[in-house]
Amino acid sequence: MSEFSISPEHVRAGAQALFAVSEAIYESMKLVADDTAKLDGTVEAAGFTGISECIEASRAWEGDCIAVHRADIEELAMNAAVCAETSQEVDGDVSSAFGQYTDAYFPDGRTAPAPERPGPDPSAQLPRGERVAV
Amino acid sequence: MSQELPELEFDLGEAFIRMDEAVAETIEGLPDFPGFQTRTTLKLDCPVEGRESYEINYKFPEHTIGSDLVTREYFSVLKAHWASLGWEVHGERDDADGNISDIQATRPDGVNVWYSNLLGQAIIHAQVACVSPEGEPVCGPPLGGVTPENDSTKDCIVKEPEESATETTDAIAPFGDVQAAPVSFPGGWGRVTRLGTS
Amino acid sequence: MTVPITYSLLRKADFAALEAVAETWMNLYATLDDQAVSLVGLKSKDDSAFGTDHWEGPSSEAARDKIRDLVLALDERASAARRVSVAIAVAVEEFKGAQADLNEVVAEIDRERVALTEAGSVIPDTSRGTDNVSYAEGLSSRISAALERAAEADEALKAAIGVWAETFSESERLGLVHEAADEADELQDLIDAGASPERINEWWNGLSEAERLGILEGDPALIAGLDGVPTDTRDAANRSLLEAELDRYSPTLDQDIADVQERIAEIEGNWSEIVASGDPGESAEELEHLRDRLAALEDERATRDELVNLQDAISGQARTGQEYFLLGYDSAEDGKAIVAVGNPDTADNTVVYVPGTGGDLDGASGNDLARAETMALDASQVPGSGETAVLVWMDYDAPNHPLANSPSLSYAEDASAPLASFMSGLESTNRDPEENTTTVVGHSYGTTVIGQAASEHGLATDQIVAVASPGMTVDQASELGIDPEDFYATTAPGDIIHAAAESGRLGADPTDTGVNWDGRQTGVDWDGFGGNTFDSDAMGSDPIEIHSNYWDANNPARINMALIFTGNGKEAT
Repeated sequence: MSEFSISPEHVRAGAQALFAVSEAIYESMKLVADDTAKLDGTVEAAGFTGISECIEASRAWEGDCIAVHRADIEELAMNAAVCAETSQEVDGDVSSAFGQYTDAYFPDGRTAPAPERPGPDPSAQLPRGERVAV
Repeated sequence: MSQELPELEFDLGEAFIRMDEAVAETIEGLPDFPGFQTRTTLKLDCPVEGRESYEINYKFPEHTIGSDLVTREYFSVLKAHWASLGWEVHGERDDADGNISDIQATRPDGVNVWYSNLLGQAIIHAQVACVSPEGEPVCGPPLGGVTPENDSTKDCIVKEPEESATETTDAIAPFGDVQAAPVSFPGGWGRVTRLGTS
Repeated sequence: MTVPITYSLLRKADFAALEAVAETWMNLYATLDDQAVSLVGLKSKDDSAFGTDHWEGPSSEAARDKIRDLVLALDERASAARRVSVAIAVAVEEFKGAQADLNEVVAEIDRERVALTEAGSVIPDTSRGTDNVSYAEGLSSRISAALERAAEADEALKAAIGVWAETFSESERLGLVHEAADEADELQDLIDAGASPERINEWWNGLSEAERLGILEGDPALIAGLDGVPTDTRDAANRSLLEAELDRYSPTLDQDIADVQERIAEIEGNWSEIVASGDPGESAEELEHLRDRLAALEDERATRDELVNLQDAISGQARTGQEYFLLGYDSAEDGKAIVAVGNPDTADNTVVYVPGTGGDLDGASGNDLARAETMALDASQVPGSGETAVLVWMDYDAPNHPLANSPSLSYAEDASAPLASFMSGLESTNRDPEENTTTVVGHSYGTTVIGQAASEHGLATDQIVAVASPGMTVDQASELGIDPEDFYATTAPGDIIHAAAESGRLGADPTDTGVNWDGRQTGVDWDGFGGNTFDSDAMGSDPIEIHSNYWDANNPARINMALIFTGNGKEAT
């Protein structure tokens, strides 16, 4: 296993690039969600099962799939940032320490909201129509 | 017509910058340069184990297809222009009708530039053969007004020149005795900065 | 199960919003694809932002591993978004078509003869006889057909979204698979009966979209390598199988290897003490066992790495902006793969590249794939050529040391039927085979494979190109089952293959024009191989290197091949 060494400015740039990736994905997903929301409640969505499935898909992706990808990306960015800022080897779970560097990475505040992982409620994580046995 | 390329004095980290630079020097000599439509990078065969070959491919705009400018005039212009830069001109070929269709030149640093007429479509290929794969393969913004959606650069990472680098020539001359020089582009493409041999 | 669409719904439905949604999904696809590329850039080289030049230690390795996982996840998600977008766009087209059919019927109705209710029922006016009854029945039937068309499109859309966007619950997914179980059995029967690719394709096209997705979800292995199944579906099946195969590797494989190596080093390091102790037998036995285990684990790792490389190679877009499609792969022995740059089913020109000796899974995701991209880009630059899809067909066991050992014909004989079947499959899945220009191009021993397949089975291709051929098992181009005018060959001066070609062991030299340097015929009964030859440059002086230089930087062979592939062979020089 190699010894720890770090070039803070490069790793910092990498972390910033990761946040930019997360942001770009958010913006693109938002377009899907916004346009799909226009279908909600329409006669087309009520009568065509495929269209209502599209609405379901947008919700699932926005709240789950894409949110998880963004959370993974930003968690990696935060870990990298902590490494860069402290110039220290850290384990894989130091994203919580990122808060103190936030201003340096988002000097003007975030343009996209931070991703939220789906809730811990097991039933919320099951696909539609599935039930937890009780 | 076989052309053995010289041993390269640079690595992959500089390869794309150098190829774009060679294209910039090439189009500097082209009258009424119409700009480019696309830029694409390619990874090519290299028979030497552990080395890699690359190409940057610039396609001229559709409206130039078949024009005298790109199918005739540019061949004679480039022959003289490249020679005036001290490049070795080679690889002249004719098409099935006996008209010149290909001409190439190799810069002293080993970058090869190939101007080709493919059924009226003009293309410039800049190539490096068997470069050491060391260094981050950075390329600058595309030349000739290529728009981002037409810029396919899978083999290099596009980086905008540093603010300061566009202002001062010294700041963008990373290659020893190679000196930076501004190149103005006709047709309102603005100014880009290139690296020229001193 | 199809859910009925009502007359009034289809009459008033507006699909503009749905159409816009399709575009946003395509935009999401592009974004995910682009961002995956950005992530690759963070670790692709030693001096990338997260490269080893800038970050070392366990956390950096974890970060690089994480980036790879993220790239694959985004790539898969991008592919799903693209499929969702396409499914919606197809549905919109069908919905609109059904609506237009319905509107046409309504506009034609003669209100003097029948009445149309708000529910779409057609009531004949029978006050003046029964003539209007059959008229009303005809109208009703057309209305029903329009509604049925919309309902089928709706069912297809629901299934496609459920599968690609993964919105289906497990029970819904299993329901889809269950609904297609009979069709899957039927397909297996067709395969067992040796159905041709054309027959398979005809049968496949007769399925509903839900049935096709049901088979894909339920048994991807059934269709992954099946000629006649559309490219997009085969790609999905193969990617699914590849993912599943990679998941089967132990996550501790690398550590297991390190542990065994450490134990071997420990025993070897203490060997003199072990011998001095007077009873080295047990340690020797353990050492032998460890070495066997190490060799097995290293083989396993090599195969896993090849599959990882393949997965990486087909993620994102090609340099030409085209998609990659995985039409088959096999990790056994040297490995095989069929990878396409661009979709051959929808392209204007299709090129099937058959690599030669030394070809394997690594090549299909490495050097041979790079050649395919070069050919696709060169062809795209021929004015008016449309899209050219280039496939690497590495679905045969290629000889490994061609130049040292004159290769046996047996490799080509074994490859002959699969290549012929594959070409027939491509022809059947192409949307417009009459307009599409198809070329099979071989390099080195790949040309022998093509020659064997063409002469033995016939190849569904318009043109054949032989690059650096040692022979194509025939004496003349006319034996290849195509017009000799559509045959092209080149071998660069100085290529080591000249010796093999001149020996005639694998057939006549395809570049032999039958004319000497002085313009005289070489033999009384021999007027050459036939067809056309084109220029290629040696690009060097080493005969072995020349043999591989045809796709090199400035080889004119590239231009000539681009002209041929796009149907402009007469312009090749």
